[in-house]
Amino acid sequence: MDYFLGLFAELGKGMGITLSLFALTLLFSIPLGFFGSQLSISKYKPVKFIYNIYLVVMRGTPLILQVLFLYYGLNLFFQAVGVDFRMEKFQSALLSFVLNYTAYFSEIFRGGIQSINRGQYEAASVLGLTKGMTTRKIVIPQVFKIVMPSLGNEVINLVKDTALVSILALGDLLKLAYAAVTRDATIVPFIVAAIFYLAINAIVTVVLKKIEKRMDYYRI
Amino acid sequence: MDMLDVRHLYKSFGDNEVLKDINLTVQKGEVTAIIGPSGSGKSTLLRCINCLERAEKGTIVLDGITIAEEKNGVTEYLKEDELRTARLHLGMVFQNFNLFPHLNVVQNVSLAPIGVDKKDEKQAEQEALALLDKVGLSDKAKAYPFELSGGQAQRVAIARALAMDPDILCFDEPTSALDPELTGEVLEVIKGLAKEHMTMLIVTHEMGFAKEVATSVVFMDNGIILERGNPEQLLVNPKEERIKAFLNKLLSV
Repeated sequence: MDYFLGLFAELGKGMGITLSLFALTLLFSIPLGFFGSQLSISKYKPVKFIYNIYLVVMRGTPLILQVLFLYYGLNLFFQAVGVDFRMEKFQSALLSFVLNYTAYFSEIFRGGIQSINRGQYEAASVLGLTKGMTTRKIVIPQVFKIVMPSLGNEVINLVKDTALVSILALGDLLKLAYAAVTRDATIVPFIVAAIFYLAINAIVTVVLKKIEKRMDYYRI
Repeated sequence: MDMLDVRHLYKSFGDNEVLKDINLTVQKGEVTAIIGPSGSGKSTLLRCINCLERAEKGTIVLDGITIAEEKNGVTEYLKEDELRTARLHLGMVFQNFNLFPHLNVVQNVSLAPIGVDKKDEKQAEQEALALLDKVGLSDKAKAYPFELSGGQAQRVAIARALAMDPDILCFDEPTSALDPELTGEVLEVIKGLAKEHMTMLIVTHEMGFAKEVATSVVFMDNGIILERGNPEQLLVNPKEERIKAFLNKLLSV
């Protein structure tokens, strides 16, 4: 029992990396995803084309590959061009996650934006609202309500995806659990790690439900 | 001076010529009903006047401001910002109301006065409440659109358009999406506006209403204005055979 409780303290140290990766990825990739959705519905064909290539690469290759590629690739690149800069593991992992999740969020937002009735834009335009005002006051509030369930799914996925960074030997939750497993020759640390992930997602789910409920005062 | 002057307006969707050489003027205080079979271009004309659709050729002058002008065979519109301001002379009420679902009734009405006219929030809200009173919905001020009946929603939409104090109010089949028992309350509101000499342009299928409220009726068919006249003359003794046929068809239903 003491061993079991001791593991909680030990693995808890990995929560810092897991949670900050989770929070920072959301912080950056939700606004970037919204911006990206605007590119993917852009009238300018080249913008749309280039952005779609980005989407295909990000959604078509494994995230773990992107994490590895970016970390080793960028540092080799800096070395090759003679820049005296080394990407830290965490920075590099965060960058991979932001790039990857931006792609998914952007597609979710695109779907949400395209499902907004054309009449909403027309009503805004005959009332003299500028494009910016229409986006802020009419489109975004409705898009968030529409996309909330799919957004929530990705957020829950993100919690679990953070485990992928252990491939870079970053001391996240899974990495510490794995280390404990090989050291103590028992799978108990894996169980403890699972409990941690479940606990995080329990909280995330409650928060998501709260947000959905708060937007329940109207129907589209 | 004409409130609205449309000259030689042409509009096509692909190969389909929807408007062919439309000429239409509207005087201050006039209520013009646009009638005609479906697909005749009535709604498209209204949408072109509102710049929701861009005409290929033709000139549109609104309250002395030329918003679209034909030069060497092509129509040039005002720049986006100027156009946005010029269009405020026009209000629009849609067939499907197009209320903003995430805003309550007062917010729907006061959004543009606050955001576009930069009115004080308190003042805009007071004015919105007064307009809601006018359309008989002061008790629904805090309701959300999904809680309203179609007739109520359309009356809110009228109040929302009036809040921007337009010179001409356009209606695109305002009662077509309503259950028959709800059309009356919307038509009453429009009649009230007619009594106040609001300049209005109304695309409608309600012939009785057109006869009662309009000062002038325009019959459109196949992208052209076939006849224009006062309601008595056009709806009771039309000159054109096609108008007679259209009216008979409506009566026989």
